[in-house]
Amino acid sequence: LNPFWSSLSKLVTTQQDSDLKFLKTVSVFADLSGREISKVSRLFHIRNFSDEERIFTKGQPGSAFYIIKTGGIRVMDPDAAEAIQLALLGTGDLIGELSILDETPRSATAIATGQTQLLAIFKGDFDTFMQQEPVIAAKIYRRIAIVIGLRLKATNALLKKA
Amino acid sequence: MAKNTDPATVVARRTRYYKTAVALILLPAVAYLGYALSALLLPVLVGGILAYLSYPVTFWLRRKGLNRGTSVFLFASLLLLSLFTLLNTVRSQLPGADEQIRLRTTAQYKLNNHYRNWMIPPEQTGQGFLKQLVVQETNAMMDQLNHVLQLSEAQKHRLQEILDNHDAVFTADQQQRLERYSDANERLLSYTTGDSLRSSGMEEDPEYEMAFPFGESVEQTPGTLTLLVHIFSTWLIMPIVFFFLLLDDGKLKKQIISMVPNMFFEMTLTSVHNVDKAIGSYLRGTISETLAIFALFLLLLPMIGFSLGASLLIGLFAALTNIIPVFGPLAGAVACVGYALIIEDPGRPFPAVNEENIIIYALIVVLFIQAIDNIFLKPYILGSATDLHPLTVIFVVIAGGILLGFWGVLFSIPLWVILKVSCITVHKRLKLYGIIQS
Repeated sequence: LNPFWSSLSKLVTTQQDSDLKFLKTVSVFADLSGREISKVSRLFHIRNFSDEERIFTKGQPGSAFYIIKTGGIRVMDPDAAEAIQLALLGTGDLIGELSILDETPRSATAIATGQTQLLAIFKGDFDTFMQQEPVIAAKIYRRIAIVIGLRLKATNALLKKA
Repeated sequence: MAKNTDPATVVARRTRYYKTAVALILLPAVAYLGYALSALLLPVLVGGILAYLSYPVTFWLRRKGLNRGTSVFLFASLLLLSLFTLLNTVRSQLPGADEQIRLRTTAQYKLNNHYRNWMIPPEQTGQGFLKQLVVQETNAMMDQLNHVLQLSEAQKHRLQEILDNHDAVFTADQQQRLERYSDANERLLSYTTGDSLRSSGMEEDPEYEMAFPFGESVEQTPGTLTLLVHIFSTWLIMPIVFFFLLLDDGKLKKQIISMVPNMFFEMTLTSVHNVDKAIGSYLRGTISETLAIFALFLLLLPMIGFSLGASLLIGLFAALTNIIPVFGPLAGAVACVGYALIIEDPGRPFPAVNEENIIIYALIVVLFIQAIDNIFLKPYILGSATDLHPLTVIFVVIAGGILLGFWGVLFSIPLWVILKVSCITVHKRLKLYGIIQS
């Protein structure tokens, strides 16, 4: 094989392998096989944010959810007397997952901490994907429900402490 | 004031300069390319629209278990086969040179006959000033129509050959009538000047040369080979665009969205999604409506005595022009009633239909189809997207004609609806995301 094409093929394969490895560590894709993950990965929009750049603002309509690939996100409530930091999320975490269920306004503001790369999935694309691949979509929904449940438990625990 | 030398600010400033410079160079280049390659605009647009409309079918095939390549290939083969069959059928029904001579001669004779019967001069009937005004206007229109319908010298020569040789181009009865009509047409006088049409000299006037809409003269028709090369060189892009977009699976859309700044990312996604839904349903609705109108004409016209060929051509014309609100249905009605005026020996599925009253039945068919369209098809299939003010329709259709000729007239309204829906959706989303003020 021509050395150029051979190197290019290696480069592409290595990139795909590293993407797959990363996606397998993401909790919402834990139940999916490599083949299923590669089908979902067609929905991703890669977005790069600089430090302190807003990802979304509280009150805006939510139409996409994000997976943090690199960097981090501060989740803030800007309406409080002093802006409260609700959570600090890192690589592999999910944000804006409620938007996949409905289009209610965002409940908090998300701000990038440092150079951050996110994988975004748009609700409309996911709805179409669900018609095409209902089994994969059901597995993802189940995992999203678990994430939401865990976050609800954490919030309840915080309320009890306070 | 001291200049900010923070490395991040410097890089941000440099990036801003770079983006501005690229935009300044790229925008005029893209504008120039768009202008220079304007001939490709229509094929690219048609290919894109076809792919867009085909997407739900290929999506459905994929849901049934076929892979992307097979579903696109299967659907494209079926589409091409259907288009080829339709075009071939239409082409076989188009009148040949001799039939055109017969049709023009018959049309000229019959239309003048009907006109004289209906528009009896006011001095004979004692009717008033208003009718006199109407007659003055229609007289001028009839003169123009006569010049359009008049046979060229070559056609007259051929007609004489047909009449002299009796070479069975037409039946004996048709031949006799053709001779009678031709003689009567030769004796026609101008309604406005009273001169013989032949002696008035207007016949050779280039102003009265029949032309395509918006000035593409028939005289400039190139040779078949030149035409084929021209068509292939520009329209070859259409199937390429069609296949590329169907096989692309949303990658192009993703590429374009990746260029959108983060601030507008979600707003762009939802706007594109909503515009896609609205336009998709409008375009699919328009196609369903066009097919339904075509089917109704094809079903009803033979029932009142139109030949199947004429029904096919009139149905196709009326269905296509029906896309244009207000004027489209009128054009379809004129074609249908116009043919009823010149029809000879209509087939008689009902004994009540004859050459004299077929025009009434044609009118009933047109009104019936328009009623079905306005009561059932438009409200349920199209929704409110086509609620356009008549003045807007006039302006848009004329602008379409000036910019893109005949196809511009036909497709200006769908393009306008797409533009209108896109602007309204984007504006609403900009407000919703707080990017602009309410």
